[in-house]
Amino acid sequence: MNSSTLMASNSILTLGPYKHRKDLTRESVLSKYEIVGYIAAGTYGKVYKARSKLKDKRKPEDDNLVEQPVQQLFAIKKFKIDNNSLSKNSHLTIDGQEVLNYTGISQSAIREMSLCKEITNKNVIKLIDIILENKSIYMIFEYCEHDLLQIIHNHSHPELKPIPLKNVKSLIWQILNGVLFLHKNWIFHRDLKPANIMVTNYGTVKIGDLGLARKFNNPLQSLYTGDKVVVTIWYRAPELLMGARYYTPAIDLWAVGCILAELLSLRPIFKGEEAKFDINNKKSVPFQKNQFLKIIEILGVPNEKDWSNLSNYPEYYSFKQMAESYTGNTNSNLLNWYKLVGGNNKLCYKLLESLLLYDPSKRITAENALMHEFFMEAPKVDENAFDGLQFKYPKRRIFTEDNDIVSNNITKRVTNDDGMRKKIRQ
Amino acid sequence: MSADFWSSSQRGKWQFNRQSLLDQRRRLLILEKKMIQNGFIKDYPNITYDSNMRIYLHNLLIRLGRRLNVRQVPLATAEVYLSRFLLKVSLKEINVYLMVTACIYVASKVEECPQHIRLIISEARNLWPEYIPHEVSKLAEFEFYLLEEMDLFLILHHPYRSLIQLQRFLTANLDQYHFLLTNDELQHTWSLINDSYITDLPLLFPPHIIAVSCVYITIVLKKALNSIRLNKSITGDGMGAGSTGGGSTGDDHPESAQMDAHGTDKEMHIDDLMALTSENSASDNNALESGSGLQDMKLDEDTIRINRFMNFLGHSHINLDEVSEAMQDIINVYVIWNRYNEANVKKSLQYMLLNR
Repeated sequence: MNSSTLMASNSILTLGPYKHRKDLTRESVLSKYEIVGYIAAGTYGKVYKARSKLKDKRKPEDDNLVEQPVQQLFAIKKFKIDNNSLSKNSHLTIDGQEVLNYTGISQSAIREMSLCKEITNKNVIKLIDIILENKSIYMIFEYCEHDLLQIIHNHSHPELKPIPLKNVKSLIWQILNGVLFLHKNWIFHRDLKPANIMVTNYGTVKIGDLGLARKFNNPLQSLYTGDKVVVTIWYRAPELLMGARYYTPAIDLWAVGCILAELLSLRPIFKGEEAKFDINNKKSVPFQKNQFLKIIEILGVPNEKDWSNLSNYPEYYSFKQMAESYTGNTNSNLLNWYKLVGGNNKLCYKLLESLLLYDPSKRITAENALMHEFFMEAPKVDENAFDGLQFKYPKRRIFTEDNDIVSNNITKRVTNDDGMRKKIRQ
Repeated sequence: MSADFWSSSQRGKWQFNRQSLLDQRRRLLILEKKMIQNGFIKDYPNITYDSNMRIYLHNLLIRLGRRLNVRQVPLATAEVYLSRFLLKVSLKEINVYLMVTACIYVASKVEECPQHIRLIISEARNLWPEYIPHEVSKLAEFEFYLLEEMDLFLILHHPYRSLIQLQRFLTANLDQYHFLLTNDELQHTWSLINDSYITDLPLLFPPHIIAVSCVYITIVLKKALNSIRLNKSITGDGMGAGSTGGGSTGDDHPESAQMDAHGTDKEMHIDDLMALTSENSASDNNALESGSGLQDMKLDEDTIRINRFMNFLGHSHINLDEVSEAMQDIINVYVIWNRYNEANVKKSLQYMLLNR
């Protein structure tokens, strides 16, 4: 048989009768949740703040009893439909509304959904529900009022007022606890950064955004094959900058080191500029020279003594070239940096140092970091990261101009049209 | 959690016992009946989810999997998705060819070896041109419904890993148990595991139970098989046309690549297994009494190995009742395979899907 064989037009071939049955009984997002406003938009899609419409149906869980707010709040993440295939897969209806076709769920969404469904930990954001409706995916998470990016910003604007070490200690301990949980489950996060670390009203850290996370036991192909680039550039571990094809959970600990530094100094410690992909050659990943230089300026130039595997990395040649033309200090400057940003706790410095080790095999693991002397000395780690603070962080900003969670408007043009329609209706 | 089976959704949300599985299937039949009564779907009495249909679906998965070079683990994942889906959806309301394609599409993403949706749909169309639509969107749509039926629980634990863990454990404790699986035995166990996905076992038992029962069949029953073969000198083509053993497409396991190369004489034969189920121990004795002196020595070695394996099992705290229950199901697969009639299933599906 060849492809010219006639396809029958029977509806059962395309899910017909079954689809009809399912669509009749599905509960819609809007029947369960009321949208308060939108929180943020990113490459993945949009996150909305929402409130439950069902009155207290859900029994509060015992371990969270204290944390149950009177009004249940949620963060709903709506995945964006793949933009590249948009033009081919969409058409406009007569009233100008864009009709989208199914294009296949992205690898990232599949990962985040499948992993979040399996895991529960106090320091990892809790998935409440997933709703698949009208070609869209809605992931419903517990709502967190704060995140580290916002907290750091609050301490650095308008003037610098450091976060008390006691609170930094609690934050980092909780982050490490969440990271350890992920690693014990053979998951690495691969995108730890302040914006992805949420904190509840009660000072509980919740690691969020598992869109780049994946399982690392027995990968069927090299990790590099799956994703050429992982981790936001400022938090990207040196082995990744060296082009490692196989890497380890140690990349997450480097990111935790960067976050610790940022909590102490209130600005990113290695604020490099990302080298962009060559437009003509999208397959070759550029060497991130500027980022690497930022690291070298503080940690010195790595050599084979500190990092035995150094010469085996794919980017060794680029690294060598960069190191040869580098004229700054070749030894670690981290202690000076630490003192300069006002650090005076010796054990905290030791922890920072062991998180920011070049050699991933020597870098401290989440398990050992949790048992680091820094956490053993007084004051003892408080479960509430906000304990003792004399003020409250401002609430998350909510944008209310776009509450429309269900329509699939993506392009600006259509959004405007939609706005127009709303006005007309009024 | 995804670290191990014990805290997984596979155990917590998708593990049944025989009764709850039966109940679930009854509920589906009632639903199906209602839909027929209300005229939502037509009745096709020949379309049932019986062992014939299961082998047919298993073979569809393997065929598409081979074309796409999907490895054994994602293929196994796809087959579990299929079993789960068919616990909630009637065969009479869907297109199984599109379902099989969707299962492979989702499984290859979850197992981190994604393939482009266009490639998958075009390969599926090459295999089943009358049944697979041109539009990518139809496959993508099925993905949504498949995920929804599984309540988004996608991560699975398979007996393949248990098998490797077992071998690692035996290697590490060689001093204590003096037992290791040979390459041939590993390969054989691997292909038995492949075939176990035709059964309900993945919905009923933890992966290690399935792995151990496949090892048991390989180690303990193999010896009895050899002896039966000697006695009866059975030839025959064994498991019938659709037989796997070569069902592995896989190089997931270093040894498995060679698996296809090994001739059918390494495979279990239906008649052998039938004989075994009834006269297991008797045939052992027969075997020991028959054959040449050389053969006796070989059998004796086997007996020592069996004893060592049994010794390990005895010390392992593995639930042996479950192992023997699972073993029966796997052996049954080969019995039903002997009666498998592909043409019938194919025709019934054609009649339903194409009205001809």
